[in-house]
This record gives sequence, structure tokens and C-alpha cells, in this order.
Amino acid sequence: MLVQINNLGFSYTDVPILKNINLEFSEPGLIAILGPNGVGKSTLIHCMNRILKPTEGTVTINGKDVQEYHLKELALIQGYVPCMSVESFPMSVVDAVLLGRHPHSNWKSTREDLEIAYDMLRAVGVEDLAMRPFNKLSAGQHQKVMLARGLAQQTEILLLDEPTANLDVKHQLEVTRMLRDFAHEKNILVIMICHDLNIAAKYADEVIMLKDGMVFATGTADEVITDENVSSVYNVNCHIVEDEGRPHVILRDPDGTECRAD
Amino acid sequence: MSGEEETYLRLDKRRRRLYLLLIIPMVLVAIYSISVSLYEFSFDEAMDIIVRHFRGEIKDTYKDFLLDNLIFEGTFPRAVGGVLVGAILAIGGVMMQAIVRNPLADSYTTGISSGALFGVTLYLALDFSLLGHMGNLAVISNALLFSLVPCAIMIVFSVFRKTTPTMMVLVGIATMYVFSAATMLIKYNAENDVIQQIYDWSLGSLAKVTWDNVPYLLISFLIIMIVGLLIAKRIDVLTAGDNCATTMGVNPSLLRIGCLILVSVCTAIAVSFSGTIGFVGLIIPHLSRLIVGTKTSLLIPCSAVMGGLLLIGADSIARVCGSSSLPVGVLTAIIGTPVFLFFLLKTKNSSW
Amino acid sequence: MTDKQSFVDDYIHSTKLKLFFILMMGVLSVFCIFLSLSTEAAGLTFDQCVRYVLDFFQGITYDRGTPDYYYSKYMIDYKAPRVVFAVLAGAGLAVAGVAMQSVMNNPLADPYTTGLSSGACFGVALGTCFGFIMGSQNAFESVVFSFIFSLIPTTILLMIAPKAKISPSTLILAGVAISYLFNAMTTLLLVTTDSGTLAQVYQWQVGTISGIPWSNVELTAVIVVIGSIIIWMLSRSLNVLSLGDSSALSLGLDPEALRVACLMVISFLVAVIVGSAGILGFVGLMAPHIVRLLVGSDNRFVIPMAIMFSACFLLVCDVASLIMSPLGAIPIGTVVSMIGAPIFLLLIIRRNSNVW
Repeated sequence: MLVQINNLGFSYTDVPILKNINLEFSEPGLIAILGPNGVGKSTLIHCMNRILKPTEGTVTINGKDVQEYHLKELALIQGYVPCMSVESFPMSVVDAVLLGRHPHSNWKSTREDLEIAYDMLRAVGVEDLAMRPFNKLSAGQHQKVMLARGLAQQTEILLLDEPTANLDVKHQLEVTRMLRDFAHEKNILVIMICHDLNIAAKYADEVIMLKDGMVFATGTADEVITDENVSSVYNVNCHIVEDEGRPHVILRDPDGTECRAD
Repeated sequence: MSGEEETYLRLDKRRRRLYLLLIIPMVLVAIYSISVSLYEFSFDEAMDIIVRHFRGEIKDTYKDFLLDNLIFEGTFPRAVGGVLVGAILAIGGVMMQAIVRNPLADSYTTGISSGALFGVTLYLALDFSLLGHMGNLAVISNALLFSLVPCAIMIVFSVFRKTTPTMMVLVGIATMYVFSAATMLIKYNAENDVIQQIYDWSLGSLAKVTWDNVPYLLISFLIIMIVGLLIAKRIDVLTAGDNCATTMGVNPSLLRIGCLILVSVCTAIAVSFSGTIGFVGLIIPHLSRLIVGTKTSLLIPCSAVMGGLLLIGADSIARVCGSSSLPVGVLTAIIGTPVFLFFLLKTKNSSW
Repeated sequence: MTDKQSFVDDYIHSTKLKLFFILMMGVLSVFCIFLSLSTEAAGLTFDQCVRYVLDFFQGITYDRGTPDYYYSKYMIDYKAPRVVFAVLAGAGLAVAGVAMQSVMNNPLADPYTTGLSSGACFGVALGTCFGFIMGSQNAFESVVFSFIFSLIPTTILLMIAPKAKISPSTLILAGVAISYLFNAMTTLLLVTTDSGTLAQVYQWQVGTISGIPWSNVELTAVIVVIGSIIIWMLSRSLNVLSLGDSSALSLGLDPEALRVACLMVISFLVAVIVGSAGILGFVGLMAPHIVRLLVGSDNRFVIPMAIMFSACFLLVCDVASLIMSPLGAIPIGTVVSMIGAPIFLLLIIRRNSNVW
């Protein structure tokens, strides 16, 4: 699969959010997108899956512009899991995951669909919640089920907006490692927006750092996550230590100029 | 920080002055409305009669007598009543929107309007008056007492369940539906002219407001205005959320029920004289917010003025067009709908 | 492996259970149809009514002037259209309710609470007062007028639907305001027209299914059947819509187009039912909720179940209104509201505040 982002730009009326984004992904793997709040990470993803239309530039998948794909066609190639979702009807967890099979199946859910749903629930570790009502889960469980739904879609490309935001440390590690293994075993390109520098550093095959709406750095984890980059992009001082071949960020106190309590 | 504090205080004062400006148009329109009537007389003649009435110089001519009557028994109390009713409805709207945390609430959200209509229908169709009155008094007393039933239901509910804003809205609406159904049942078997009377009442009209009614309206207005201003700060705290409010020393459930009773009683009194005039309580708070911001202590007086202005203005327009006067309720609905839609579509934040 | 197999088997088993419920509901519906046919049927017994209906379908006619002839005529021309219309109205309103709840992502949405019925009602009142519609003779014009005016609330709903964070109560309050506007305008029309027309419009408005001629019933049947089939075929897409617009988009759905399509169908359904029978509130709200307690939230099951439940419900209300007032003093609309409003209240009490 080949994803090319050419000169992508996006503005809300006059306020430019993204400018001159040029990226290319041709290998499966886990890609982490990092950057401070409001820099445009979600906007970038939304331009890739047609929630937003870029004001400049294009996103092409396998040579064809994303805007030209038929929605159903695109859904078979690219999946997306938002960071928050809105449901008001009590449906069971299994039914929620089965919705991810929508682009594939016809009227009835086949046995195969059910087996895939079960496998994905097991992969994220919530298979015992299968028959529970979806809207009665804790925030962490909810997020895992949403992820299972995205995985059940079985697409070549998977876009995830902060998939581990509500999970505790152990589950953050488990889920991110699972995503990396999935990416390698099933040849999927998983692009995830991440806030935790260390988790991204530990598992991502490639890291992209955004600053001021533009690509600041791309490369492997130890190429990108350096103390100069972190300080430049996040305005935070840190010390990088190598652990198991990957960088680990040790944070220092932020600059004294921002907050004061008088 | 003191520089910013100064700017904030200055803005506050400026806003305060802004709405005071509105009192002038309100009074002007009210005075103008005194001269609007089915019978032809001009503004000058009206002013002349008023002045002479107070000086005791009304002559014994037919024309003088007629004009005097028309104005002092008709349009003058109507003008005063209109301003007061509009103010009460608007203040009720401000308070309801705050305690229910929903921009579409108004004083009728508690179910008052349908309770009142039910009471009126009971009398007009079945001659049943709760206090054994007759005629117009029966209409008023029935409307008043039955419009308080939804409020009582809500209070009973609050004993069993915590009163969340959503709960209040939904219970109010459910009560409204129940009363509407009961009203429909009675109306179905009534005679045609009775049905017409019921419809007339439901649209709302200031026509029957007399000087006897004005003291009650005045007292209701003063109560809702003064109490509202006293608890304005607490209402502001409530908009931060129930949990936050509790930590700031405000009991949300108690405050809600208290406001509910206050709004219900005062609105019920207004409705019993004027019928259910809609949209005033719904849109005036939004318009006020545009001028004075969101502090309740400013919103209440501003809304009172704007509510009075809107109602008396709508009433005057209603009297001017249409050979038989157009019901005020229809006019407020027509003016109110585009405004309401505008605010509905502007709603973006998730707090609603 | 066995865990997975038992999981799949469990799921298939629960699906079969849902189908069983639907079948049972179907049986209940048939029973209700016959119950309604035979209540207050000019003194006929249950089997006599059944006989006349079956005879009609077999093409057996009677000689003019015989009691059989008059009884048959009574059943076929008076009773039968009433019963058939009740079934159709129940079905149409249920489908409209389910579709509306999915499309607005709001458990309290139905044509009545969102003001759609009031708009349709105003359309018919307008047509009647201006002479285009005379009683129940102009079924087609009724539908046209009510459809056009139901488009106004529909457009408003389309404009606020994408704002996903609008809570259920906000939608209902908007519906209340829209209803107030249309009711006020309808009332204005009524008080300015003569009292004969007023009574006629009023008695239609309150919701009644007596005296509806076959021509209306046929038109209703066409629209309700086609509309229900369309919505049922879209039920998978409606399921996906409940995840929110962005997720739906990523699963291959166009949420805006789906919404527009569904609301058009809903407007037609509401227009044809309101045009003939006036406002029957709550049916579209209650049926989906009660049905969801039995078969879950999957629209593929909810829609057929809700159709049959509503049909039964309206038939039972009809029976109740006939028993309480054989001369028709209590119209079906009132019975439906008097039962529906407390159930609405109950639904609110029972619900977890998280859900709203």
C-alpha cells in the first residue's frame, strides 16, 4: 500500500492549521504522530479520511486521491477510530464491534464476522465483556471496544486518534504493543496520534513530530525524540536516556516564565 | 493584574448602562400603545384625556366619556399589564434556563401552560370551577390553580429522585403531554362556540386585563424581580455544574426547587390573566445575553425591560392589524420563531 | 478454540431468540386484528365477523336486502378500513419513530415530540380552511399539504442533527417550540374560520380513525408499505449511524445523505397518516423503546417488532375507546395520549440519567 500526502494544507476560514505537509508511507508498521495540543494532529488524520477536505494539496492512497474514492471502497482500505464517540442506544459490546464489519458483510452477520469480532475483542483483552451493554462500560473499557471495532474492519490502513488516552499504564503498554505486533503480522499501516512520548518511543517504527502546523521531524524513534527536538516542539526541557535500544524521555521542570501565582 | 480588574469593572458598568437605555423605548411604546385601539382616536387626544382625567376635568360629553372609558378601563391597564406580564415571563425564562442549564427552557417548561389550559377548559366546557366562582373569575382561578399542579408534581418527584436539570425538563414535558391529552378529551365533546373560546384563551390576549388585576401582576413582578436579584449570584454558581456548586456552598436541588416554585407561582398568576403567550420567556434571555452578558444579576433586569417592550410592542402591532384583534400569542410566535431558530443553530458548545 | 465457538453459538442462539419474539408478536397482531374487528360490531359475534371477512376474500357476495348483505357491507365498508388503517398507522408511526431516533441519535425523538406532526397538521388545516380539502374526500390533497408543511420542521431538524452534542432534552424543547408555533398558527386559522369548519378540523386533529374511506386507506397502504421497506433495508446503515458521524463516514456511509433520505421518508409517512387521522402522538416514541427491551437495539429486529407492536397497540386503543364510548365520544387519539403520556413519564423515571 502507498499513502502519499502532498503539500497538504488546511485552514478553517482564515486560520491556517496545517501547512505544506509532505509525507509518504509505503511500509506497514506503527507510526506515531506527536505534537503539542492544537498543532493539527487530529486535523491531519481528518484530512486523510475525508472528514475534512484539505484546502490545499492532496492525500492519495495507492495512487488515487482520497476524495475520489467511493466511500464504501475507502472503508475497505482505511479504518478510523475517533478518540471519543457518541452513542445513546444500549447495544451490546459484540454488536458494537460487529458494526466494524459493515463495509464487508451483507445483510446478516456471518459466522466469520462473529469469529473476527471475537478475535479482536480477545486481542484488546475484553472478550469477557462481550454481552454487556456498550454504554455501561468504564472509559477504558469503552475505548478498548472502539479499538476492537476498528481492528475488526480489517483494513490495510488504520487511523487512531489517541487510542490509549483513557487507559492505565499497563493497558497503554499492552495495547500499543498489540498494535505494533498486529501491524507487523498482518501488514497493516497503523497511524496513531499519541501524547505519551515514552510509549511512542518504545513501540513506534516511525515517529512524526508536528510543530506550528508543519512537519518538524520524521524518522525512527531515536532520530526524532532528542532533547533539542522535544525542547523546540514542546517547550519542555528533558534528558534522553537509552533503554533497550530505544530513547526514554526524562522530563525536567518547565521554563519558569509561564505560570506564577501571585 | 489590577489593570485587568479595572477593565472588567468598567465593562460591567458599561453593560449596566446599556440596558437602562432600553427602558426609554419600552415606556414610549407603552404610552403609544395606550392610544391604539379599535376606535379611532389620535395620540394627542389620548394624552389630552389622560392629563385631564388626572386633573378631574373630564367633561360630560359623550365623546369625552367614551374616550375616558376606553383608555382608563381598556388600553391603560392593558399597557401596564402587558409590560408586567412580559417582564414576568422574561425573568421566568432567565431563571428556568439557568437552573435547567438548557437554552430552550422557559417558564412554561414546567408544564404551567398546559395545566392552565386544562383548568380553563374544565370551566368553559364542563362548568367546573375549583373555587366555585363564575364567569371570568372562574377562568382566572381555575387557570391559576391548575397551572400549579405540574409544579406540585415536580416537587413530589424531587422527594424520590434527585432533581437533575434533564429530569426537570422531561418531567415537565411529560406532565404537559398528560394535561394536553386530558384537555383534548374534554374539548372533543364540547360545543363549537365553547371550543372557539378555549382556542381564543390558549392563544393569549391582554384584552381582559383590568385595573383589578394589575395589583396582583405588580406584586408578582416585584417578587420575582427582587427574589431573583437576591439569589442571582447563587444561580450563577449553579451554571458551573452541580458538583462545583455544592463545593461552593450552594445546594443545587434546593435552589432548583425554590426557583421552580417562584417561577411557577409568578408565571401562573400572569398566565391566569393573559393566557399562555409563548416565546417571550424563550427568546428574551438570549437577546439580553447579547447585550449584558451572562451575569444573572444583570440579565434579570435587562430581560424584564426587554420582555415588557416585546410584549407591549407585539400587542400594539396585533391591535393595529386585523379587524378583530390578532391574538398576541400568534404574533410572538411569528416574531419569536426566526430568533429562536437563530439561537438554536448557533448552539455549538457541549454544555447544552 | 472452544471459547470462540461457544461465543459464536451463543450469539446465534440469541439471534434466534429475537426472531422467535418477532414471530410471537406477529401472532399477537393477528389476534388483535380479529379482536378489533369484532368489538362493537353491530352485535355480531366473533366467528360471524371472521366469516364475513373471509367470505369477502373468497369473493362470495350476498343478495341485496338480506341481513347478510348489510352485515357484510358494515364489516367491509366500515369496520375493515378502520382496522386496516389502525394497523397501517401503527406500522408507519413506529417506523418513523425508529428511523427518527436513529437519525437524530436521540432516544426521545419521534414525529410528535419533534414537531413534525404539528407541521403536517397545520398543512391540512390550511388546506381545509381554504377549501382544498373537504373532509376525508381529498386524500391526495391532504397528503400533499401535510407533506409540504412537514418539510419545515424536517429542515430545522436537518440543520441541528449534525450538532452531535445536542442533548435529548434540547431536541425535545426545540420540538415543543416548533409545535407551539404550528399550533398557534393552526389555532389562528381555526378561530378565523366558521365554526362548522372549525369543528370539522378539530375533530380530525385530535386523532380519529372512524369514517376513513377505503381510498384513503389504499393511499396510506402504498406509502406505509413502501416507506417501511425502504427504512428496513436501511436498518444496517442506521445502526452504523449511531456511532456518530465521523465513525459512520469511516465505515463507508454518507451520514448527511442518509439523514436526508430517511427524513424524507419519515415526512411522507407522517403526512399520510396525519392527513387521514390527525395527530396520534407517542406511538412512534414508545414502541421502539418497549421493543428494544426485548430484542436489543439492532434496527433489523427493532423495526419489524416495533411495527407489529404499534399495530397491536393502536388496535387495543381502538378497542378500548369503543368499549368506553360506543358512540365515539372518546377518540382514539385521546386514548393513545392518555396511555402514552404516563408511559413516557415512566420511561423517564426508569432511565439512568447517564443515558440522556
